[in-house]
Amino acid sequence: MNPVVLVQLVLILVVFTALLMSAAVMVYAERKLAAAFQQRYGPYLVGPKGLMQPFADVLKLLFKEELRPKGADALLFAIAPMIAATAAFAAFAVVPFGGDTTLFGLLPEPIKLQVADVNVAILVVFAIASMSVYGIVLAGWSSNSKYSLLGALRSASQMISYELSYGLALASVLVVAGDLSITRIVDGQAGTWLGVLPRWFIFVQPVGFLVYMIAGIAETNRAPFDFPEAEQELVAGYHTEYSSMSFAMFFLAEYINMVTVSAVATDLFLGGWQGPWLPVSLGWIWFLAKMSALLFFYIWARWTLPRYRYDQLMQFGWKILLPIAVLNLIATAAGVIYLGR
Amino acid sequence: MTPSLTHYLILSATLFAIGTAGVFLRRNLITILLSIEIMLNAANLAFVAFGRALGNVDGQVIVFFVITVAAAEAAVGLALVIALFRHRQSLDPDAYTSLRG
Amino acid sequence: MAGDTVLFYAFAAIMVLASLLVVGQRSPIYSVLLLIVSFAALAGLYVLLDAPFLAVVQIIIYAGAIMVLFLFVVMLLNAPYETATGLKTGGPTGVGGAGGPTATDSVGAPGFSPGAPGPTGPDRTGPVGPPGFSPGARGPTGPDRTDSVGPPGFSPGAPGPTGPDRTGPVGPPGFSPGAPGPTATDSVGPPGFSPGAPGPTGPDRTGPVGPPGFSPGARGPRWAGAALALVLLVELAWSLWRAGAQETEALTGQLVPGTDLTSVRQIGHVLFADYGFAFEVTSVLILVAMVGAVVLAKREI
Repeated sequence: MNPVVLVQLVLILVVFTALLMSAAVMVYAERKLAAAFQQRYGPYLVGPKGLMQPFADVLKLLFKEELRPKGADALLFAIAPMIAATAAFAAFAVVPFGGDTTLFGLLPEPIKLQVADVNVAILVVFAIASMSVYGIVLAGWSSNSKYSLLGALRSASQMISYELSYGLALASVLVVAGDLSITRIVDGQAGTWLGVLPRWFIFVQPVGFLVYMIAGIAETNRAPFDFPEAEQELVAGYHTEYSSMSFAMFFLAEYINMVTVSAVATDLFLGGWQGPWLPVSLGWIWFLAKMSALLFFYIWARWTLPRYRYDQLMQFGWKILLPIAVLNLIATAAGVIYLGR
Repeated sequence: MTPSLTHYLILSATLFAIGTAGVFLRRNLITILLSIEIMLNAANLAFVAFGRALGNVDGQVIVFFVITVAAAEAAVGLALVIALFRHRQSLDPDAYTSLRG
Repeated sequence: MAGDTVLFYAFAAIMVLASLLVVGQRSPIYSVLLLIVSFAALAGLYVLLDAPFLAVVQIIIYAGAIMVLFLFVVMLLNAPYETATGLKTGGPTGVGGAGGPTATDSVGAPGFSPGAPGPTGPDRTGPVGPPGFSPGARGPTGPDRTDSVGPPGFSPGAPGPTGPDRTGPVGPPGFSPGAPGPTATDSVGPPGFSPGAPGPTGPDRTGPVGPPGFSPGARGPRWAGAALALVLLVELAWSLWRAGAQETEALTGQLVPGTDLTSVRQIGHVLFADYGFAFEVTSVLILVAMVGAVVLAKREI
């Protein structure tokens, strides 16, 4: 088989597996970090230092009974978690996580560590993120339960409200970078100013980065914006009626969405896989490091901040975050025109 | 055979006819709005196909405007449906015949 | 190229099939979802036509935003689907869907400014809630809910024999806030005109539903509609065949030199330079539509 095709297939497999493993790692990290923030131990019984805990969780979920409420719409009930999980995985397909590499000389020519190189890559991420709304809405509707429907509608309207600010933050970066392809945006962040400060866009667009991260947290329904799935409020929102693997798929989708948001933020604002002391072909190590920092920030925010009430959440999204994002975009555009890139 | 412009145009015509049939045949306001969206998208497809055939991006640019106008029309149409529904609790267009004379 | 041909036929088949199902099948939720599938196939066709940016924009705006709007409206109105005997609510299984949100919570669909959620619990005597409207029929719980309940909102304000006072028709929704008993937590439905006598409650409801003079199932002009659509198809196909025949070479042939159809920069340039006025006018149009939609759908102004 053509070696390039073979490599592509292997790459797809590697990325898929890595995403699954990252969800497992996130589960463990979240519980351990939550424990650290709350000054307790966290899981420590299963395996050394509790490292096998996520696998125990998966086993438990596998063995649970798969329930379906009586009045539920069978088809929609079944495909809703599939939509959520598929969208989560698909969004990562266009995110590059490493520079050109020849896998230590195994390959005749360098490949990019990206499943699909599309020159409108940022918009593809955005488009697929907006498809994940459907998984949630259909889950709530098909469960034939008022808590599910309410949670689903709230969650969906929250997601589409914050999509606006998300997109505008992305647009600000695009104005600065001048290109839609993520690979080229990362390449545009090479080099340093004065030999010390790397040319990351976070320094050019600090407001944009903040808007992006806040909107990203709201997009993924994480605290402090996780009202629709808060246990104290709506039982569990749209995934109330799900159990076993369907619930696991929603869980998985949420974590992988977090990973995607962090990965895109790393690429756009933190210089992607570039960093000192490592050749470009090993840049994915830097990428992992930066992404992990952002994921730590995610978990930190969840266990530190209190939850927003739903109307406060919507007010914040529309009345505060959106104007800030718009003004940021205008200011960026003005800056680019008058100061050049 | 390799799809040529004619293929795309026939596809566009088919979709347009399906949308029109939907507007004529359906008794549900929301489905009628959906059929209108089908028609708009059929027209979009024709625009993009012609743009590709003639080699300029004007086709795509016009599709932008069509999409925007369709979004506006869908929003207002659905708001009207909601407002109507509050009065008659029915989504059947035959229920709103008070102006018939 | 063979790959392109296969993809074209695949996407075209998906689009036509999905559109036929949108028009042809009964449940509005499935119609919306099938239309989303159709749009995804259309995005694929756009990519084949060298318009990847437009494909992504189509998914973001059409499939990601407009269809969510449709879905919200269908869910909140608990949209009835048509059968041969009239309208039924909820999913195709005949059981009421999710019954809509109760009056104790705020739905807060996008564009509706949330405001205060209002009092919760059975003490609810005030307005039903913030301008997120409550859609009417929560449907009676318990064994009273048979298939022939009728369109939502008519599910007559007595949701089953839960309160000892509720034996007769309690009138159209909107008149029972503050009624004591556990039934007061039910959705009171949208206020509005009383659409005529709701008729008997419960499973006695076999007569025609809807305002007087409304007869569902009038089948007269249906086949005429189908025939018209068929005529339209034939005529369109023929005229477009004639128009396209002269351009058959051009699709895979020479592009006007200097234009890269996939370049976003090119699109932006043409959009803002040649179509600048149209762009501004469309922006105003969207703003007006947005304000208008919020005003139209609000409960009180």
